Amino acid sequence: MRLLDLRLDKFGPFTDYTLDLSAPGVHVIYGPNEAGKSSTLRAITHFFYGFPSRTSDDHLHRKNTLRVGATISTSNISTSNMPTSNEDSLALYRKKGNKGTLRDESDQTVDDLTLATLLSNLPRDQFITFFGLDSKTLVAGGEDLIKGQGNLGEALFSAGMGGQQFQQLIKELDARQNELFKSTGSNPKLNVAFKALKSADALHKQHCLKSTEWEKAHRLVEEATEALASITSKHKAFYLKKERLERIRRTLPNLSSRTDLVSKLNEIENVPTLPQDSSTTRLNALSNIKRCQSAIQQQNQDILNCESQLANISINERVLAQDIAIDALKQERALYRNNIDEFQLAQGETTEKENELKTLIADLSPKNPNKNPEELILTTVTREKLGLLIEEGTAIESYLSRVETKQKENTHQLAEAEEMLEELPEKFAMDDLPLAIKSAERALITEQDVDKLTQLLRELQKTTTDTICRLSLIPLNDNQLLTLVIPSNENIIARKTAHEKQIEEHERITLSLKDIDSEISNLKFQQKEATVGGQLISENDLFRARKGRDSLWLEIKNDWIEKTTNEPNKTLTIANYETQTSAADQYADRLRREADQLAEYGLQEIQLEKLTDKRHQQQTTLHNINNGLAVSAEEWQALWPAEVASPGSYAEMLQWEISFRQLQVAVTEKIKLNANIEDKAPHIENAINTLTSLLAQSGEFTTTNANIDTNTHKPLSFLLELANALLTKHSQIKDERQSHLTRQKDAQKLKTKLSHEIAELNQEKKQWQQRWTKQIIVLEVPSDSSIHTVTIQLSLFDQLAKLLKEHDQIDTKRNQLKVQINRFENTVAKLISECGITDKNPQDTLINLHSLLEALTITQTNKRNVQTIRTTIKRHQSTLASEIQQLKTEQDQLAALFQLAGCETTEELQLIETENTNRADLRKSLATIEKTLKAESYTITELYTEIEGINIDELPLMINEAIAELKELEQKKELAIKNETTAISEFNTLENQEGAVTAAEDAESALAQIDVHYREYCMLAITRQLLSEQIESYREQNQGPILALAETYFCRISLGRYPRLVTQYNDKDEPELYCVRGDREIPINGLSEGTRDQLFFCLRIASILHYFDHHDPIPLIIDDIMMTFDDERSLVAFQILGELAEKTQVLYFTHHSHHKDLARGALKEACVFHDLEVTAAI
Amino acid sequence: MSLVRFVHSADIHLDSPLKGLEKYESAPVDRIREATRIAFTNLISFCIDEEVDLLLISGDLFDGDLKDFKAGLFLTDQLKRLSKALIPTVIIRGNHDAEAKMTKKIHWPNLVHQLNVKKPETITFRDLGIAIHGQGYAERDVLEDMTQAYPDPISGMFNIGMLHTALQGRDGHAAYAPTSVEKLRSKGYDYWALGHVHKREVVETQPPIIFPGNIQGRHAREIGPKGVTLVSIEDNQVISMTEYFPDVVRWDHCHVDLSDARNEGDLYHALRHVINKAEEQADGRLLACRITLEGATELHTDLVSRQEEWAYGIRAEMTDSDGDIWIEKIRFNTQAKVDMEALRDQDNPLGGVLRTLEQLKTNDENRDDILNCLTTINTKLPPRYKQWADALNLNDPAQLNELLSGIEQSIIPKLLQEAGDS
Repeated sequence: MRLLDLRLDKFGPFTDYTLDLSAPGVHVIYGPNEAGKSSTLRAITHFFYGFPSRTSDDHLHRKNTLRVGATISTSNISTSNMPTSNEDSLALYRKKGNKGTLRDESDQTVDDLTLATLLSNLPRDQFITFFGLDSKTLVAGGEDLIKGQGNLGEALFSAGMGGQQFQQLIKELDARQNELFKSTGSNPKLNVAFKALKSADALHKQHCLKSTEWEKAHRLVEEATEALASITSKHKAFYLKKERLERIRRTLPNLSSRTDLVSKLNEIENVPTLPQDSSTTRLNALSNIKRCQSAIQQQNQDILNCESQLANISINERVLAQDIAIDALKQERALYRNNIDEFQLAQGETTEKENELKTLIADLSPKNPNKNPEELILTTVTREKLGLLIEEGTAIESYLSRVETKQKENTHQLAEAEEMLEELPEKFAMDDLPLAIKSAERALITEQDVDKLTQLLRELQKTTTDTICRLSLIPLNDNQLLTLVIPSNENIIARKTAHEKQIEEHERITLSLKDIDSEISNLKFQQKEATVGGQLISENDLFRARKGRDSLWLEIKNDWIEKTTNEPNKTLTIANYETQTSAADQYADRLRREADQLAEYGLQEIQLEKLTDKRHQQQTTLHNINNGLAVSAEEWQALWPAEVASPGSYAEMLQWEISFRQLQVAVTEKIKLNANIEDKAPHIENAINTLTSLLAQSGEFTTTNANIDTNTHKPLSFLLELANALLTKHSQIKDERQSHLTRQKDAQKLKTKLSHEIAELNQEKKQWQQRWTKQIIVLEVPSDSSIHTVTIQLSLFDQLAKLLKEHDQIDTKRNQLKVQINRFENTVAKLISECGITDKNPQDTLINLHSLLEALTITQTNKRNVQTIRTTIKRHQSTLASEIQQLKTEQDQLAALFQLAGCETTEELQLIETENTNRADLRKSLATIEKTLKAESYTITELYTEIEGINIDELPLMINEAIAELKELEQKKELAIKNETTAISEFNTLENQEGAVTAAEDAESALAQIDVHYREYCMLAITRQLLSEQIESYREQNQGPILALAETYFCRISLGRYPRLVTQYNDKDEPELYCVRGDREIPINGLSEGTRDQLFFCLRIASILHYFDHHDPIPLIIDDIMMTFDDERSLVAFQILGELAEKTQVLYFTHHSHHKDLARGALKEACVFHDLEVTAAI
Repeated sequence: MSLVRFVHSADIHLDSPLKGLEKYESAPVDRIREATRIAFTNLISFCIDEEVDLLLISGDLFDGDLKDFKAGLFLTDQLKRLSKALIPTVIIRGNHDAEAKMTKKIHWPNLVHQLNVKKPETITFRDLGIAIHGQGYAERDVLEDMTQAYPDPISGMFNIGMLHTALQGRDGHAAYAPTSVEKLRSKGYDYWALGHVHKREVVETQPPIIFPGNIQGRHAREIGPKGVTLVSIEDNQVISMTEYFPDVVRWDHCHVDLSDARNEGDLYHALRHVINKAEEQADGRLLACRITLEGATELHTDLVSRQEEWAYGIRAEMTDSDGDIWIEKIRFNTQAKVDMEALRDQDNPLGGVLRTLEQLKTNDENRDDILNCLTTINTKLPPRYKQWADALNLNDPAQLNELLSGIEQSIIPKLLQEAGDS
């Protein structure tokens, strides 16, 4: 798949901008800063995968209008210029949105799968990492190579993933794993959690309350409680004893008194028992009988008096029958009087209203003053119509007046605005100024950058010059300096080490030779010493001497045998023998010494010979070392270029090498800075030119102003200042004019509107006038009457209607009053007749009514008197009956007392009553004593039993003994209570320890921590393991083809310096990548930074090509990757990209103009250039 | 017979620590720690306030091998409250109680009856007209059907069977004392008060066979309301069964779908929405909540690379809100918004890694090799963790596959880390 064009319809700074990408070869898309290079890069991704929800490319076009399009060729071979048929190409565009964002030319939605298939279903992120290559990725890839120490698997994996910083990822994974767990660590999180769990478990165990512990404490409590109970029981027993004794002491006198009382009571036990109040009863009964007899007599007399009064009273029943009706008339009497007054008043008012009506009719209808007033009353509709017409007419008049006033004011405003506008200039030619200022501001920033860069450049120049002087280099230009090859630091160190080793060896051998010489001379001296004075015998002499010694010993032996056999004097023999053997021993000793000396001499001879050989060898080695030193000095000298005087010592060399490398870095930086400054210069120049031109056009800017002193002013900033001032001024005028224009426009609009309104109002007034004339006829006024006139006439008509209404109301009221008066008078006359009262004055209703009322009052009074007397008689009769009953009761009560006492006379009864009183007193005393005894809570019998056998004299002693015993027991009880409290307190303490729950909770917390970290650790460890395995697997599968391809490219890009890439296995048996240079294998960390980047570039290109072995081609998008490439290597890189372009489309974005020349030089015709210019973008 | 009411409860698990307790700042640890005790206290108060006639506890008063005797003392203290209110309690021992040797030493208060563990026992309450039949666990692993030996119902009384069982098996519960609904029904009892299964379940209504569930959820698998059943009977007929929830911490597992989330604000919005619902269901109790973030989202890379920061942020957000909430754990199970199949098909290193992972998930041949890298840490893991209910067990294929999926999702952003809007 390839892009035939890319259409930036509305995107970033672009509007309807198209890049034609149909031609074969590498497409180099050049764009200076701000030209939209980055936007174009993003546009490709967005076209393929859709716009992200947030985008920075909506500064010119609104976000939801963003749109990019492309025509895609589905043919696989990029060399074909155009698709062979329409079927091979697809013109699509992508718009912003959530759904259906991919559309075809006819704006029909196209399934995203169409593009996904062409992109081999690569997800967005992977497309960006794998088919997008920029300098940042390249540098990161290079750094990753060195971090991985050239690990081949990781290098291939990283390249295969598009330059992801794989080493960084591995490092992070390892670091996090170590943060979580270490088998011997104590700080990692899991280790901490393990410890916390252990600690919490231990604490839990410690705090758990064991049942045995609890039972022990509980048992102690029970024992203490039991002990307390036992003492309490004993204490209680003694307490009771003491109480009993004290009780006996208390109850004894009472018990004695009780016995006496009981005896006295027994004596009068047989006297008849009378009620306690028999004396009172007797006296009351006698007194009551007397009072009852008197009352009965009085009541009989009263009854007779009342009956006599009743006979003298009479009642008129006819009047009594009409009492309700007469009462009602009494109530209505006031109303009747009022009605008569009101009737007379109404009569007068009626006459008055009739006169007023006549006067008003004469005013309204002078021609016919006797006209019926009803005829002059206006209908409600007519009246309302007239009212509405008056309101309408008044409103029209008022509104018309207001509108006309407003029109006058508006005319004045319009004139003012037109006057102001005439004073202000009409046209402006500064529309381009804001854009130019914006561009100039950016250029100003660029200029400041350039200043900084220039300053930096100066510093670098100074540094490089200093360094060149310090290094005693002959004058060289920058390129010569960069291409100058000197021995590497590693080489110097290696040579230094070798040289030092040789010198060390030389010294060691020289010392050794000295030792050998010293040893030889020593040996020779010893030999000489041994031979001086003939001390050293020969071998033959020694042999002979040994023989002599043996003979001598034989002689001694024989002599001994002989003498011991024949000589009886043993002492002499022994003395001789001793003399002989002593001589023989001395001889033997001498012989031994001589033999030893001889042997030693022989050994010295051999040693001397060996030392001589060794000396010879050492001399030869020394000679070789000297030769080696001379050769390596020559070789070393040859390694240094002619321009460089080889430095002296190795330390100097190392210092020199470092300084020189720094110099090269500085020179590279200088070149970059120069290029950067050069790139920026046109942009600044353009901005100055644009501003100058615009200022000149404005007339504000003259040649005098333009002639600026560049030493004191920065032209661009000065121009920018002028331009901004101009812009502000013009903006103000523009704003003012705009304000007046708006005002003028508004006034004109209002004028038209008001004129129209006035016309409409006049028309409306005319129509009203016609209706008015027609309507006012009924009022009998002239047809041209004004609203005012009509209003006055209308008020008279209203007055007539009101008067007529009032007259009718009064007349109705008068008639109603008359009816009420007649009805009252008739009722009175009727009652007089029915009650049989003779008329005193038949014409006067009120006098008749008075008679009726009087008769009723008398009758009612008589009736009440009769009732009162009858009630009194009944009351007397009732009292009489009651008194008779009372008399009988009292007589019965007295008889009962006599019967109870068994006597007949009052005197006898009085005697029995006295005996009864005495017995009651005795019983009372007995009860008091028994009450006191019962307070002891024992029965009398129990108390009598208790005192039996008690010796009263011993009682105090017994009580004292009991108190003493109690005291002792109380002390014991206190102790027992204390013991129990302690035991309970200890028991409670056990129960209240809640540490176990907290510890269990801590353990759970630790387990939760372990769970979280363990899960993460497992994920990390497995991830790490998987990656390692995958790295190895990927290496095994792809090492051959990718490495072979990368080797070819790297050989070319390193200009043949590194013809081969090889692998070596390290200590861990992991393959590492080495670059072969000459006969040496250079590890990755031996490569310069630039070379490493280039190596990674080769690996990436090789990985991409390898990918195409199994997938359809996808355009490769490269963003300025040759920042660290020199021109020669850049040429080769472009050639490689040219070859790659034969397999897939290559789009190379750059902001370096000289890259275009390099690409042209490398690719000739196989290269297409596109310039993203600022103007095009805008 | 007049109205009689009894409470059927089970699985008290006193002093069982609430699992997965992550102590972060402002976590309400004290309330969580006390939860099982407070729930039990609430249950006892409920019985007293409602003046019920009887409390049944169908096993597992304690949690496993009870080492701390104080739990036992607490239990007896609470039961004493019932005794004082003249409310009898009938208890059977469950598998956890059988395991806790120390419980044998507990002196039960008056009116508390623990049924025999060697053979079925019947206890009758003549005044209530109730006969209770049951048997406790003598040892933890009771694998035979205990109900076979249960006595026949007593005529004229309301017969209740108490049993600690998993019936024919219930997820997440050991299959102790197996039996079937048919067998229980055939006993002719009027009510079966079961225990052991922590989730409330009305197994049968004629006669009622009920698992009331435990009274306090203890971890993220025991979600929702936890309580007991209040049963009212009249004339030997169940006339009503209502639930009461004495729990003080309500567990929930909130799955937050981030498919549409494009930024932090969207994430918190989605999270708040789900949490609000959970809070409503917690009904004013402390909400102990596990949060799982899931769905294919644009935030995946950020979530994967800054898990600790996100977890902190989410906890802070929840703490700042008005709700009474404790975040037990935050699981990051989101997926990258990519076509996984397409990535796997690529002939490049990432494709290779993903294919290997896929093979590991479906084929267990190479699993041991890949797990070798965990040998060291696995030897150092405390045995306590390995026995922990929530522990990661990589010998379980499902858990391993879940872990591999997590790796798959975390490795994608790592290997595409440098990619961006370029």
